[in-house]
Amino acid sequence: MPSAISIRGVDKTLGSTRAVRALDLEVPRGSICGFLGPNGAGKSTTIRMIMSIIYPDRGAIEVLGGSALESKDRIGYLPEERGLYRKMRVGKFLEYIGRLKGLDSDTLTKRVKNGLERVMLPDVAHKRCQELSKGMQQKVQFLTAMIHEPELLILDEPFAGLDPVNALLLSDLIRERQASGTTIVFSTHMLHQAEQICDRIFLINHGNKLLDAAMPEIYERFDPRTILVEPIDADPEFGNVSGVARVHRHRASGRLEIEVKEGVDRQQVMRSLIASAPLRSLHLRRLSLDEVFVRLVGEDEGADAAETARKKLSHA
Amino acid sequence: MPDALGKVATVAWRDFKYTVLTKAFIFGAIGVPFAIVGLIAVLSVLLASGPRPLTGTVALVDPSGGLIEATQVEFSNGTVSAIDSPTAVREPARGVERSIEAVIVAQTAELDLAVEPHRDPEGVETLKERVRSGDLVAVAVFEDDLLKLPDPERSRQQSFVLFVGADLQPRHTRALEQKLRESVVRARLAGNGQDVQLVLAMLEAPSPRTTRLLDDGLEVSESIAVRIAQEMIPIIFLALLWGAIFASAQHLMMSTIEEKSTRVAEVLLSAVSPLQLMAGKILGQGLVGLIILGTYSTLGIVALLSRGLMHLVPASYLVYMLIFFVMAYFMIASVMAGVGSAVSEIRDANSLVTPTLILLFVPLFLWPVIKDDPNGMLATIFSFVPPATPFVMMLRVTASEPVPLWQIPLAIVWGYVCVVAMVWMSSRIFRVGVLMSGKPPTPLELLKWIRYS
Repeated sequence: MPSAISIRGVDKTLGSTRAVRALDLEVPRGSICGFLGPNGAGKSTTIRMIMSIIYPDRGAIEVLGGSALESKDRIGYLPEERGLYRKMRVGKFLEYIGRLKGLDSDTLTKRVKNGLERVMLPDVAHKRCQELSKGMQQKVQFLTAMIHEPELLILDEPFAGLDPVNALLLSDLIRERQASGTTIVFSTHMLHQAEQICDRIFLINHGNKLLDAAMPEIYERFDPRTILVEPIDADPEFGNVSGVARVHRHRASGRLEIEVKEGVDRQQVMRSLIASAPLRSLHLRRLSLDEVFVRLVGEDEGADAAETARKKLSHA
Repeated sequence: MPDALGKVATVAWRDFKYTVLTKAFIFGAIGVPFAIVGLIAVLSVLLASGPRPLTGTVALVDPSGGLIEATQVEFSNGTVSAIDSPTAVREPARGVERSIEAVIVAQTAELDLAVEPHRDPEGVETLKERVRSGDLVAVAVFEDDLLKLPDPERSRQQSFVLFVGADLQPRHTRALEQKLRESVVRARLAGNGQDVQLVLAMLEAPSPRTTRLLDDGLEVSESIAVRIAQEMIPIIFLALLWGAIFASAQHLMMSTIEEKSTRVAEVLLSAVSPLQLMAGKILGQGLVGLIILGTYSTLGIVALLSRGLMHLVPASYLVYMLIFFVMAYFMIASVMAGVGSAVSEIRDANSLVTPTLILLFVPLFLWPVIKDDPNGMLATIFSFVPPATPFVMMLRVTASEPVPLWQIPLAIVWGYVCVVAMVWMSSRIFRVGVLMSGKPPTPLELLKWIRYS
């Protein structure tokens, strides 16, 4: 099956900044793909080029088998900068966007009603957009992106500014859309959120692609070979267990990080640990996407850049 | 699925609807013209009742005593025009339409004054006190030599002194001054043994009864009012174009800036192309302009029909108005859309719009010249300088002198070629500007956007 989005060798310079460099990317149909990276990484620029709102200086972008201009009615888009007509009524605004996307009046009436109910705003159709809270406006905007039930949904920082309840609602809606066959691409600088719902991750920094892989591949590739143990006894001795390379103790929590030797089966080591001392919990550690990102930046640009990336992520 | 034109129409309809259905528009574009008509009607009724006459006594200090009788005769003819023009006084408004009559009535004053003669100049201070107390309307003090024939060699004009009360209306003051001046002339004629009635009758300039021969064989007699109306027609057409175009183009710029500053533009651009968005907005606001033009034009036509003056506005004028409205609107709208997309705040737009506005003020500043000499070099040159073209051509085709036939189609073709060029340039600016934020671009940067976008 051809990709939903295919980007080949794309470059884009904005002013004096090279926002995107020699970018290649394939987004499989039906997937949820996360465009990840800190602020200023080039995510929104890439998304705008995918939408044909701006054009690449070099390279080619194919969306749903053609250009985004040809496929606009099959694409839903939530821009990073949210926008509503302040004085327009919510229902009318949704109908206007839906009409531009090619929906007829009858379909629109049903979709607007059902959509507002689904985002838990059943009574706002007759309110002016300016009367809504910021969170409510954001949900209305999300609805504008999916009112026409697009084949491809592109969401630029969809979770920004949402409270946990609404973030959860949005995650559910994204999964629902995927279940009905929509390909979803969303950008975020909050990597832990992407980790929870993405099938595939695309990491960029300073316009450079650092990672493009499915989640299982990432877990496999960035396996830290570390077992996290929470012992019941105060000071168990695990240094002598076969296959253990090193043991790190967290003084405050009393937890242990046990590094496994290369080539040793981790399941065997875990069984040995359970046998050697009473434990409250034990599990294999995975690197978070934040850690993966910092590691990749370190490999690509050196330790200083990794430290800068770590700080950026901690401030995000 | 809407095609490109369908999307343009959807954008146009929204822009039209959300402009026309606002209270500000309903009040400004529809309420105000009807209010003006109502006001004119009320004023006509009020003015038709005539102004309040000036009654009372005027003291004449005339050491020679030669002016008393002449003044009494002048005062006995109580109506006087406050316009300082003897012709206007003596020429009755023959066949003048009521609206023009009303204006003339408003500028005339009825006098019902008695003369109180005095010979002693020493008593002037006492008379002035009586003016202050309201006992007298005024005191006129004439010099001894006022009745002598003026010496043509002397540059100083002869004069007299008039003291009036603080609350005397200006038109009454002017009327009184004129009556006294005419009294002096009358007294001079009588003092030199002339037959006053005869001389005044000889000085009366005859009134022409001009008849205009129309192309369709009709002959229409032309009154002063008709001539005034004819003089005003070009500027009325110019004002109609200006008003309708600027109101709608201003709406276009404001709504573009709003869409940009509220970030709706990017949402819209996910559904339509920048060109479709701009085209829709321009068309939508163009309809708004047509509504304004239609409202004011209809009122004007109704007014002309009710006065029987419709022959002053042949159908060709209305056709030209439509042609030049569309031309002018697209020129101005393309500028406003381009500028609106390039800035995020209205105050930033002013510096970019001003150069165009300067050119557009040319026909406004020069309309008297262009109207009087519609085929002069100035008018001809500005007929081909966009965006002044449609405005200057509108002035020229409605002026009295026919424009050379070749110039009209040439100006129309040239104007629409310029429209295409301006819309193209504007679309280049629009597609870049509508997504830009931060500092507004300089004119030089706009040129770069046109070249490279």
